[in-house]
Amino acid sequence: MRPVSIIGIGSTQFGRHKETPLETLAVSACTEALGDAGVGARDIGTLYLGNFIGGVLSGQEVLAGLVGHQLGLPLSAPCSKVEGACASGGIAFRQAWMSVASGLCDFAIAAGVEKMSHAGTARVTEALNCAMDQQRDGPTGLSFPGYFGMAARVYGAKHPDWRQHLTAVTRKNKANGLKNPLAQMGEDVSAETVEHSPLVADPLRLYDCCPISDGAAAIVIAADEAVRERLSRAGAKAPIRIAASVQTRGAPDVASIKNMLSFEATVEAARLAYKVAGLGPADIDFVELHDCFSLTEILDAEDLGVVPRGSAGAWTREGRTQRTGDMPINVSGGLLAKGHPVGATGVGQLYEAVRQLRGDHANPVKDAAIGMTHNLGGAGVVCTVSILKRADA
Amino acid sequence: MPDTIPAGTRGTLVTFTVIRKAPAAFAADGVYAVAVVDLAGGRRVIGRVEPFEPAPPLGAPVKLARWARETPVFTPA
Repeated sequence: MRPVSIIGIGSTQFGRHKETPLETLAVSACTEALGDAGVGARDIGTLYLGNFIGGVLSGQEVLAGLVGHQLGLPLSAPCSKVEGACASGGIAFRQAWMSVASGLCDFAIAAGVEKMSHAGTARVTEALNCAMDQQRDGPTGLSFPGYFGMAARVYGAKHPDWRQHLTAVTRKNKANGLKNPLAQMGEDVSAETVEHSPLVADPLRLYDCCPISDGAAAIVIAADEAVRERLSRAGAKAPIRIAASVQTRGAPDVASIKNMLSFEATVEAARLAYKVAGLGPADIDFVELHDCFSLTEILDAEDLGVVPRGSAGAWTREGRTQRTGDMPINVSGGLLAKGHPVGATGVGQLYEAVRQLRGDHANPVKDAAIGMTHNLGGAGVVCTVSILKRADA
Repeated sequence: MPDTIPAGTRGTLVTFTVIRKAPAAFAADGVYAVAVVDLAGGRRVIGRVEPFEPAPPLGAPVKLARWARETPVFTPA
């Protein structure tokens, strides 16, 4: 595998885009990323597009081909949609990285897109349930908030102050979202508002859940040897090195998960990512992780090893995961505040990480040189973890 | 569930949640509780638990009362 870097990024606002077609959102993010990279569509060797429920909610498949056509990619460039529930975007990024790292092409686009807000909550909940084992979990009437509600009850049996832990996660991420111009719903929210919001899946309440979102994000990646000359030009942005991009699998159904306070796919992905990058948790300056629910941030942070096992809730309450804390987590606002346009989320996390490492993020982590992103699908059936580095790190 | 567990089988309540925003296909079920149960012998299954108010304690003994379509329904043992 040869060295590969991110040279361009683009993203729509995350939120409501009712009037904009699904593929138009993706094209818009890709066009911005190409412009940012200073690369023409004719130079792109392949496109991977993460999308989960475009077929169910918009009746639109062959999305990658639609996007590739509208961008004007060469006929020789394979355009593929990839799906792994909420980790679809992270998978698209890894596939694009492999294409360039292996030498198949010099430039690739990884994009993600989702459009959900035009459908009602019940239809969206049902569509998201496509990520469940329909022989085992689906027939019970379980929802994804329901899975994490069951996990939260297990967490509560271990941590008497569980409610304060979850509230601290929501309040931090909502506050971070206020600083992110792309975020759907940042808010200066009180503990009382969080803890009196309606129950969704006991004990999780509305403020423990990420919103329903539309949006797209895109990344242009390149082989370092292909951009060396370009980089000497004045004004070229520094490439951000991909130190690791890994994908793992985990249990596909609830009864196969023995410990509901951990995801084996995340633990394994983190282990592999650190190994590939030759780094450890202490080297990570910030993390963008998959906080689809407030509880999930706590589980993810412990699974990734960036916070000691059993202490993520306390760390959050003590402010140690804030932007200025020991381990800044989701300074973008995360899924809870930035939003969760499912197929776009993993690519959106990478967008945020690149902004931090370039030093032009609206909510900056001081001296950030190495960042980690974590994208989780279903109840841990698939996970991607990436580590990005500044070229001088 | 691909195979059937006989009614009366006993187990322990691992956890549960009350679904208040059901997926569209379950709208007719109203508000209901989905649970994880460890059966005697160690096998873990997913099903429903009744009643769920007041909340049953985790670790409570339960038994398989009946099957609702493909889903086992547990009640206090």
